[in-house]
Amino acid sequence: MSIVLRDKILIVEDDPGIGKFLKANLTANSYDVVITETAKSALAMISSHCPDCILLDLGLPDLDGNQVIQNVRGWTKIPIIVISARSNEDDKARALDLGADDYLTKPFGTVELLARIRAALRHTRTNLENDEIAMSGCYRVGKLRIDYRKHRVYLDDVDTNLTPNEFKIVALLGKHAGQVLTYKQMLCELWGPSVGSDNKILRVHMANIRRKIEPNPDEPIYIFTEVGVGYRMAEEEK
Amino acid sequence: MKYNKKLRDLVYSLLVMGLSLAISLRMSQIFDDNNQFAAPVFILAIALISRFTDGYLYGIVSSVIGVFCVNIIFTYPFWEFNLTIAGYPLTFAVMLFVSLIISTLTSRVKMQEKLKYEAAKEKMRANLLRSISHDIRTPLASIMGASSTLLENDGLPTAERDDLLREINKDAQWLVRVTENLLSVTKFSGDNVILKKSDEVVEEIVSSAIVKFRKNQASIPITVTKPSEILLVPMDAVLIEQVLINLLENVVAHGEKATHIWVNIECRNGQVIFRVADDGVGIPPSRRAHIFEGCELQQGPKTQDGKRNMGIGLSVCSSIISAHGGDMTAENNEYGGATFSFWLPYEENCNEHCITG
Repeated sequence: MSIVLRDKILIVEDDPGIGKFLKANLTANSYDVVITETAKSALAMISSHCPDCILLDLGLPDLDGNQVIQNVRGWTKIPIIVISARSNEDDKARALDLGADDYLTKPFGTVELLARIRAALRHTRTNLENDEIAMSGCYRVGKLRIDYRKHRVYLDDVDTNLTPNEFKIVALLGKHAGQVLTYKQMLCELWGPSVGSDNKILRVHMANIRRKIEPNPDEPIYIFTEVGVGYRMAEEEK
Repeated sequence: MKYNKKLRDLVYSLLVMGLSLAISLRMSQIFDDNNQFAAPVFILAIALISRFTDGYLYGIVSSVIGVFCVNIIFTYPFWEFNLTIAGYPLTFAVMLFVSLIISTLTSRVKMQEKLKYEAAKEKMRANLLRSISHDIRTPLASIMGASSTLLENDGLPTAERDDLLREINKDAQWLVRVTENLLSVTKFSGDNVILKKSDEVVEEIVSSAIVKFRKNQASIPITVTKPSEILLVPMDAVLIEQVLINLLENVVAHGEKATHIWVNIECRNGQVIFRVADDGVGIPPSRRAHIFEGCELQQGPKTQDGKRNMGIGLSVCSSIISAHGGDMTAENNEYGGATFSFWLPYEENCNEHCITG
């Protein structure tokens, strides 16, 4: 008999209905689930339970969810997935900039929820941002292949002829595949913190990239737009 | 905004006064120092100022200035202020009176316009509420029915149970979409419309809308045609995406027999034009006039075969577009199907932004 080690998820959610369905769903998918309704008890539970992943509702009764993120990021890299209501893209971007790993918009489907949790857990399994890239020097999704050694991106083994700047953008998204990167994060990573908040150049580059790497740029399958927030590279479930 | 308006009023008043002074001076040259034209010219100027500026201030100040001008420049002894001229108090009174009356009338007209606008808005809100309650009640009834059936009947066959669950899920998704639209509407209630405008890449918004539409809907083919240059247009991206999703979903919900959707983006004369066309049955003539008002429920229970009302969706679209300073239209195509189009204002200096590589 072997001991099954299950990932522990902490749910911080003040709505009992949503809490209940999250718990039922995650338990059914063999996660250990701890649930709490307030930010203060969440902070205590994070240090006592050491969860593998935190699902955090931004609208909590006692503290602003962003304060929880800031506090937690002060001492640990536990993945945090923010659950937020629609209509405030700025809030999502702010939570991500503060160090949240991902976000889900209410209402969300369970398939999406599980995929995000798996992605978040996968990214913290290793110290490297993406272990596939570390091992093979390539990131693959569908027919797309980002070759980090040659600085080339291939679609169906044909070079897509990205410019150096375009490659930098695709490479960055590939490293964080499955996760949303905000415009701010990308600008800062690509051109340094002094570049400011004007993301027009990034957006125009993205339009050009899509024309080169997407089989149908009007219905992208590799790089998704999170309107008002940023971009996400598709990730293959393994 | 307010400051700008005041400045505009001030500039306008100065211009009109200056112009009338110039005209009076020229007249007195032409007609050999006969100055009987001056007073009427200034009265006309005061009337114009009172009519086209806000409040009473500009009119009254102009009438005082007018009186002094006429007295000093155009009345003997010239270039001297003289209170003893016969009829002088009368001129002053007439000018002041004209200014007051016209200012009052103008304010009243403006007030009436405002009231009319408020009433129209109130009516739209009432229509919206009506269609919303209908839109929400039907799926809620079905969710309640299905869930209580599940709770109260243990021995349901699995297939039937799954059917009911699927129905609940579908209705819940519908409700989600209705509330998305409601959220957009809340951005327009009240006087200050909160648009978070920024320069957006048009094709990115379109593709994002299509991806989201695909999540919920059947695989109807969509063909997009767009200009080759990359268009950066100021807009509230979330809201415009909502408009596009609504239009796409509208095709599936109402364009019966639609087998293809065409999305066309065109840029001309300072407008970016978006068109969503289908090859379905088109818009019934009875609905065309009021399609953006969200009130086609008034005819009673005419919603055929559970086809749900997209009334809110379309009225939300049209208010989003007008808040952007654009306009929206709907028409039937010559060869079947309907086309919904809208345009957004756009400054054609995008080339400097169009970086390639």
